[in-house]
Parts: sequence; C-alpha cells; structure tokens
Amino acid sequence: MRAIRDRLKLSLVVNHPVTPNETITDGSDDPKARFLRDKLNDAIAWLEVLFKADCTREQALAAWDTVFNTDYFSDRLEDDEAEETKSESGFPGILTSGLVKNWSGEAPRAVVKEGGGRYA
Amino acid sequence: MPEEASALLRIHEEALSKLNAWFSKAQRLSSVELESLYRRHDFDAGWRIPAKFGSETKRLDVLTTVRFPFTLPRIALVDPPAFLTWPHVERDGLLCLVSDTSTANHRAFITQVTDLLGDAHNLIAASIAGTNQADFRHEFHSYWSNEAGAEHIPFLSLISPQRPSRKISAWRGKFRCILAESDEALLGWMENAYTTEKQHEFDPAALIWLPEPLLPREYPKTAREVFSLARERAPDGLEILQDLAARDPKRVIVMLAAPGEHGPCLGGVTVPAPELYSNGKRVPPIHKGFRPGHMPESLLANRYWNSGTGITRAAVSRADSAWIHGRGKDSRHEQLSTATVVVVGSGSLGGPVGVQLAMAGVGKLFVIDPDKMRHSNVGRHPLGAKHVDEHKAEALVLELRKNYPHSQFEFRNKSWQNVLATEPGVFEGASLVISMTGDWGAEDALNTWHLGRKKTPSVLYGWTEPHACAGHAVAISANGGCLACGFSDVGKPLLPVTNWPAATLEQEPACGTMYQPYGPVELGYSVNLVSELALDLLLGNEAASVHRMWACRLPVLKANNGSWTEEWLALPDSRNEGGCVGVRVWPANPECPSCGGPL
Repeated sequence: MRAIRDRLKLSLVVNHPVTPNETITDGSDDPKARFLRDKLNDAIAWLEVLFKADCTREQALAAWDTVFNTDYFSDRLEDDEAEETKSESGFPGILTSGLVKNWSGEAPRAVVKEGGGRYA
Repeated sequence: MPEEASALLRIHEEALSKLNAWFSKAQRLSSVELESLYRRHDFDAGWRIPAKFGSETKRLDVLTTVRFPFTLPRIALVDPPAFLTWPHVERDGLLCLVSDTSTANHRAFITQVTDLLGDAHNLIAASIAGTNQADFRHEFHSYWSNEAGAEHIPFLSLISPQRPSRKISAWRGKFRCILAESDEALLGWMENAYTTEKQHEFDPAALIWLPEPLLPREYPKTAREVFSLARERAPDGLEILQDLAARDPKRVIVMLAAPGEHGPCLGGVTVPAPELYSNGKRVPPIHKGFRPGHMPESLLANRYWNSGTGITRAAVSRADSAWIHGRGKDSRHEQLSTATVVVVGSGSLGGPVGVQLAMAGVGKLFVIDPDKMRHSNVGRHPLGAKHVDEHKAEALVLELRKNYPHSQFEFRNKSWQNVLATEPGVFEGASLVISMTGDWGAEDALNTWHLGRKKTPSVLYGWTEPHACAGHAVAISANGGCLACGFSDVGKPLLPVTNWPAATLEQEPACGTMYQPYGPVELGYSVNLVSELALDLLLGNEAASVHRMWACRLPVLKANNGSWTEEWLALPDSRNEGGCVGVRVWPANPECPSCGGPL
C-alpha cells in the first residue's frame, strides 16, 4: 500500500500494463488516481497502530474495520471472546434446556451443519 | 514422528487439555470404559454428564478421537431405549447429529462441544415428546436394513421407483439380488455389466407401492404381515402377491416402495416358502393334503401368505438411470435418457466426448470408427494400453457397457460411409450426430448427406487447432449455414483462432504417420466445449447453426510460439489474455459451393 501511495505521489500517470505508450489515466492530474492516492493515505494512517509494539488484537481488528468500513473483523473478536468466556466458566455440572438456550445466544455456532459450500 | 504429525498431536493435546479443564465437574471415562462401551470406535477421551429433560435425568457421553478438534466430538446417550425406538440413535447410543458435509471452527473447541450438546439435548427432548418420529420415514433407508437377518443379500434396483404396485423381474445370486422392470431389462443390464455368455434365470417379483415409508414398528416380520401390509395400504398389490405365491416358488421377492420427503424410499423383503421353519418350529408343508401339482392355486397362495414364516429384510441400492445421472433429481435426465447420439470418430477428442456423454446420461450411443488403438494413442485416449490393437469403437463401447450397464451402446468398426450405405437408419434415427474426425473429406461428405436430409438431425462437428490451443464445436441445424459455409474449398476453417509461424504437424519415422502434438490436459477444454454443445442440442437449447470456440490462456499459446488471429480478436467474446469461450452464429455463405446459402 505504501509503495503504491508513494508511486502516485511521484506521478499520477499510470502506464497501460499491456499496450506500450498508452496510459490508463487521464492526463497528469487524473481525478481517479488522485482519489486512490488520498484513500491510501487515509488507510495507511489508520493502520499505523499495527506497527506499535503494544498493539492489541482488538485495536488491530478495529483498524481493519475502519479501512474497509465494516465490523467483520471485530466480529471475529466477539467469537474469540465467547469461546474464552465459555472456557473460563466451565461446564456447570448438568445440561439443561436453559443452559442450551444461553449457549445458543452467546456466539455464532462453531458447527455449521450445511457445510462450507466446497465439494469434490 | 514427522513434524507435521507432531503439530497435529500438539493441537489435539491442547484441545483435550482445555476440554478436560472445562469438564472439571464431569466424570472422565477411563480407557477401559471407552473400549468396552464403544468397541466399534477409536475414542481416546470421554466425559459423562447428566442432562435434565423435565423431571427426567439422562446421562450423555462426550467422546473425542485423536483427530479432534479437526473431527467433531460425538455425543452418546447412555442407556438408550431399544434400538429403533428413537430416530438418530445408533445401536450403541451414539447420536447422529451432523452430516458428512458439515463444517466447523476447529479453534473453538469448547463451542464445538456446546453446539453438539445443544443439538443432542434438542434431539432427545423431541424424542421424549415423540415429535420427531417422522424422521424414521424421511430417512427410511438408514433404518430399514438394520437388524437384517444372517441370510441378508442386498438388493440392487434398476426399476423406476414410482406407482403403481406391479410385477417386476428378479435375479438372485449369491451376493446380491437384482430387480428390474422386466426380464428383458434385467438381461440387458446383466449382459452389459458382466459380458458373460452365462444363462441367467429370472423370477417374477413384486413391487408394492405404499402411500408413505414405514415406521420401524410397522416393519413386517412374517409372510402374514407382508400380506396384511399390502391389504391395508396397497390393495393393488394383493393380486400380484397371490399370483407369485400360486407359482409354488422357493421364495417370493418383494420390494416395498413409497414416496418420501427426500425421494422414493425402497426396502427389500425375501419371503421364503413356509414349508421350512417358522419361529424355530417346523410348520406343516404347504402342500399337505394334496398330491404334487394338484393343489388349487388359490389355496397355495392362501397358505403361503397366512404363514408365520419369518422374512428377511434387505437394503436396496438404486442403480437405475435416473438415480445414477442426478440421484433422481436432474431435470435433464428424461430428455437425455431417451436420446440417441451417433459418434463418428472415437480418437483423442471423440473418445472422451463419448465417455462424457455416457456419464451425462445419454440413453444410447452409437460409436463408429474403423481405427485401432496404438501405443501412441494411449497418452490422450480414455482407453489404455490394455486395448492396444483393438478397434477403438468396439473397445470403447465394451468399456462403456460395463461402466453404464443401464444405457445402450453400439459400435461399428467401419467408416461412417460404410455404415450409412448398409444401415442408413443408424443416422436417420439419431437425435444428434457428432463428427470428430478432423478429416475434411469425411466431413464434407457428411455435410453433403446432411444437406440432402434438410439438415436433420443436427450434426455437431468438433476439432482442435494445433497444440490444442483452441477448440471448435460447430452445430449445423435446419436453420443457418451448412458446414461448408464456414470452410474454404480445401477444408481450411475461415475463422481460425490461432496463427502459427511454421508447420505444427509432427511425423513419426514412417510414411504418412503425421500427428499433432498435444496432451490430454490442454485437450480437455475442447472435449468439454463439444460435450456441452452436444447436451445443449439434445436439450433443445440451441435452435440454429452455432459456432463455439475455446481459446487457451495466452502463456500456453506463447509457449508454443503461436499468436491469435485477427479474425478471432475481432470477435466481441475474444480477449487477448485468452482463457475464454467465443460464441457466434455459424454464418450462411451465399456463395457456398455445397448449399448456395441458407436453405
């Protein structure tokens, strides 16, 4: 990401990957290339936290959430936390319908009956 | 131990350690208990927990193998009710909670267990309430063949599983019993599958069509119960059963069938003649009071079906065409199974196309080729070295008959012109003719014959370009150009996909032994191109003459020193990177020397 941003800082002109002497950008100040450069600037700044020695998993996932404008990554943290919580609390000694109900509300299932959609 | 294996073991031990800590309030099962309780399995750890169901408490075992956490734990119900009382409970109490296709997060050890315990709790609660008994019907095949007798011989069904009840045909061997709609169908299948000259003896059997699959408590145990079942639920089968028994057979073979939620359910039954033993006691011979051959048939049937003779249940595997080609759910099967395709040329392209069409469920293939297999063909032909010096058409058909005995395959070790001269019906009666000879003389002649028949049926021509870097499938139908419309007078295609700077044909050190160097992998794309268009034609998806082209990936073309033609690059579907299919209407040429333009 840094390399692309730095290249675009030098010049917003991008050559055609196949046809010689043609460019895929429009002039020396192509608005799309400028937009990409600015967005890369933002993303690189948001991801700075990844390079800190004390960066936590939560901070890292939140940084990627910001880059992609999603909560997909933080959701993974919730899965891990749910597993951690279950692990810490231990099996309470008897299986009841109330316990099953609690478990099913805590986290996404680890067992997916319909499978992963890959066949061979 | 290899490093990879020790890594797996480390993860297993870590998972087991976490699970053991989590189960600190549960009873850990000893290895002796695991071995004695679950002899058929290789569980390496287990925990026993109590589970509450209303006022009732039951015990569950959570069991893992050395493959955990990459293989899910199993849950077992300790002290299960009698086998086949509750669905999804195996004989040793193990619960069937997930199918083979399920997947899991292998890092979430505890959640795997809580998910499965939740599923187990729900299953047992539903079983106690009796709300899941219908699962016995939905998954009939899993339960019917359990507790089959020692004489159990599995059934193989070639019949079309649909109503009504009817008489069918059976062959009973030492290891299997095969059932078909008629003696003729059974003989055809067995001749294809076994290719022996042996004479087979067939017996009439009964297909009893029930309104729904049976629950385990409804499974018949005696001849009398089989007859009662038919009387109560399949009255149209009564006469058939009586007729079969009136023949004084050694046994009557019955297939019970019913429509289920996931497709037809089939169960096999063998009812031995009652003159043997019943419940350990000798019963009166069925002919008692009559001289041999003088017993009224109705009385014979009556005694047969009123006896308490124990029956044998059998699992039924389907091997009928609809099942093999789509497990009874492929909407294309009906059309394809009634199609007849003539394959002219069974070389490196025609051979695999023929195999694919047979696998796709085409009902009848007629393969024509005068050539014999050579060792030089083996590397790119579905027939291997064992068929060298045999005729390709004959060897291919004999293989196909064995592999797809429910379909029909014929061959002629002749040129197609010879077959046309002596058996014109072969071509005229076809749903589709596919020519894969790459021989302009043969195909120009075939086109001339085709024009004489107003281009019916459709003829599909398939060929590859040098190094198999491009493939072509051209379907000539009643509407559109003829084959010659797209060729020069000397048989050069007017729209090649690739250009070559030098001659691409190689020659063996012998006269006239030219060949094009390509392997089976690059050829595979052209095989699929031709097979796909063949299916489209048979299914009515292409109404007019059409041309489909495959272009290989650019690096493959460059590695062989080829380039794209301008004509190909001018097509809207083409792209310089290759790896694509182009489609165009096969144009009618007003100056075509064969047809003079569209008919």
